Amino acid sequence: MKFFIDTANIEQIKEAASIGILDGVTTNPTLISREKGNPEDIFKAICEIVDGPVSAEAVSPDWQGMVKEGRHLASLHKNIVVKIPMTKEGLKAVKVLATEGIRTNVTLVFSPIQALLAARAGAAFVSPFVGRLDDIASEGMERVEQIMQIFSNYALSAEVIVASIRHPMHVVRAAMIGAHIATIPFKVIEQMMKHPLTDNGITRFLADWEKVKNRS
Amino acid sequence: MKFFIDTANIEEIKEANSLGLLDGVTTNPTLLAREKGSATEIFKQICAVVDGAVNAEVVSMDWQGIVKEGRELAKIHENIVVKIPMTKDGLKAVKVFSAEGIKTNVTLIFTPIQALLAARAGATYVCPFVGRLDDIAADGMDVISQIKQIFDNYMIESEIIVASIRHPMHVLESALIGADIVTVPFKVLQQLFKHPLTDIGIERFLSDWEKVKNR
Repeated sequence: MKFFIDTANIEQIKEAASIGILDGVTTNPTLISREKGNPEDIFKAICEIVDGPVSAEAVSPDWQGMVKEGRHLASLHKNIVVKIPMTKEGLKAVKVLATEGIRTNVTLVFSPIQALLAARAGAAFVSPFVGRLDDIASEGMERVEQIMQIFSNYALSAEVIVASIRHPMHVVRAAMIGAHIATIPFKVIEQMMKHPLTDNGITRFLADWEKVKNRS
Repeated sequence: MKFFIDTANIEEIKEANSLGLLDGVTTNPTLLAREKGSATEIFKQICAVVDGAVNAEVVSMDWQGIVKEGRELAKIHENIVVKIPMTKDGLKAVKVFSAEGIKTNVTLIFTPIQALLAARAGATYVCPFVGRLDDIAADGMDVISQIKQIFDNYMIESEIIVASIRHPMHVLESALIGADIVTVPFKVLQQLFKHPLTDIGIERFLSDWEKVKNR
């Protein structure tokens, strides 16, 4: 499973890269609004660090506008993937961008059928949001399972990015299902590395090491 | 999974095409009756838009009549698939067309056995109707699972077109079962794209974008 980080914060991206688990970055307008500087500068700075897909979102409501925005975003750097919301207009734009060789990530996907439509339209990535489904007492990971089954039924090549991840169990389940990618907030990446028994074990080893290190 | 649209309305067909989701069209006499112009003209118009199967239904009841009608329909355009009702005479006609290389779609299928018979007669497509089974408190999608299993058991090449689709759940279940094709009314095609959380998410992103766009 590939790990993307869901942030526009340069320090967090550098930290994830230094751990060696940075396969890509996803951003959205909300994440961009939390950082300083204009969006294009932020995208360029991210592309300098990450050797993988960097999702930058289009904000036009109509397909013509999204295509125009998408072409411009794609021209910023070869790593840019144009993130497009899951609407009818969005999929029209995906179809056009796909024929031009511009990679797209269809976002705000909440049903397996939306994922299938996006894949058929030519999206390189589809992003189902699991946390926001859990929020309305609907099982987010079950949707991911159904999407993986449908994509395997028809040998679809679009990659599934599990998004809106809230805690490490989402990542565990995504890995058990065999989802291609999880895009994870920085906080959850840190949580994933932790286990109390790992901490205990380290403490015990270090204490024992104290007993031997000065032996001649 | 391939998407066909179940309509004879040229505007709806064009809209589906612009979404990149138009692998074929199914029509029937009821759908044709809703449009203007002769049946032949409508079929020609549809074939000009769609790069895929276009189903045109015969109305004769005896196999000789079906064969005659089907040959005429097939002449209209190479994309035409002759749609034939699931009757004994219908299957006799399918057998003749199969030998002549004319593609057929056997329609009004309600049991897995009807689907097997149609496939054995040489149908290119079989069309089980799920909504009309749900209407009589029988599980339409269950029939699709059984047809899929039987076709897999015997490596039958006929493609399954799930028809009489009423809502997106029929499409989802078809995809999970691995049916070859769904033929979807325009209204349901529109519904497939929608999710309230998608709408809410777009609103939230756009309002955050307002804060940064002029930096």
